[in-house]
Amino acid sequence: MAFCTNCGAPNQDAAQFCTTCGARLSGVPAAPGQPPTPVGPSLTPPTITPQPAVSYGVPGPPLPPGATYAVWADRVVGYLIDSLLVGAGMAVLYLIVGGFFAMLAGAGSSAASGMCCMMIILFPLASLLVGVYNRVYLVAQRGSSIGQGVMKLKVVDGNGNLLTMGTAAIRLLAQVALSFVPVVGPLLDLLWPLWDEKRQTLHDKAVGSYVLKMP
Amino acid sequence: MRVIFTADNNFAYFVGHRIQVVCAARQHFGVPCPTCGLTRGIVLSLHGHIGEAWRLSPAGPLAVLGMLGMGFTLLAFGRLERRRTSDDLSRIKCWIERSALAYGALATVIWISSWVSVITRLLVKT
Repeated sequence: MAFCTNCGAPNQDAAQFCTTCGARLSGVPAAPGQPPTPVGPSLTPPTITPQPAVSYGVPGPPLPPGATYAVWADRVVGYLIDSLLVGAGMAVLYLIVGGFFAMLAGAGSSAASGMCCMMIILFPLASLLVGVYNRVYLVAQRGSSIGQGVMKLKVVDGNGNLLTMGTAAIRLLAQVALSFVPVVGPLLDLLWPLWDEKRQTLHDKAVGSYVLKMP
Repeated sequence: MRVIFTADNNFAYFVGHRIQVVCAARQHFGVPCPTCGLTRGIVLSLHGHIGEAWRLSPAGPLAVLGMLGMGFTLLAFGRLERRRTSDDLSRIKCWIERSALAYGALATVIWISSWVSVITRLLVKT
């Protein structure tokens, strides 16, 4: 069974022309010097109504003058700056807490043990607080985390507005959720802007956000 | 997380160090708070010990399963996006949001019910 490339109607394998619309079937070369002789019920070519082009995906936000979708490298550098800042902030916090414990309890083993316990509690707590402040509060208030601000990146929604606190929080939650899928989740989330038309990560897609490079 | 956190039925460990956070409710009133066992439950679930985690607190495995589900759903959504129209994607997103809300509500009900049953058992014993 051969299908017409013009109208999609089924035809016999040996047929040279479509029995429905009269178009020459693909794979059957026209004889040299011989005009195509359509066969079928109608000799006049049918009127084909032009179909509107189907666009896939979600339309992006209106881009401000000079702004473009942020390239992958800029986003990764911004992310690295954020990570370094969190690390540096936590190191300072540890030094302060460590010094405080050493002052209070002297240099004995109990002080070291207490500090160790405190650090264990502090690590996830500090990461959470700094992460929420940087990735939710700052993104909602000014459109970028500290690292994104350095790279002149701005996070906007589909209308070009800043994200609300709730949307920014869900965006962070989506990123955390992807990190629960072993290896593939965080890796694909990180690399997705490389092949995405609007340079979105998967956690951007979760809330319909876009990262723009501002001039 | 699986690498740096481990747990048994009694404690969670961060890079081999025991995390000793005492629950104030348990210490002062002798009853666990709703989040008691959550850290151990999450860590045990991440290591695949769902049964043990469920016995400690259903919130742990439910949270991990929810996160996993959300992660896989996002991966699938990313693949779908290039092949679906804007209207289709809006419908799919709406469906995902409703499912997530329903899961969250169900998980919360299970979590709180389990906590209430633990409290009731303790009160009946005393």
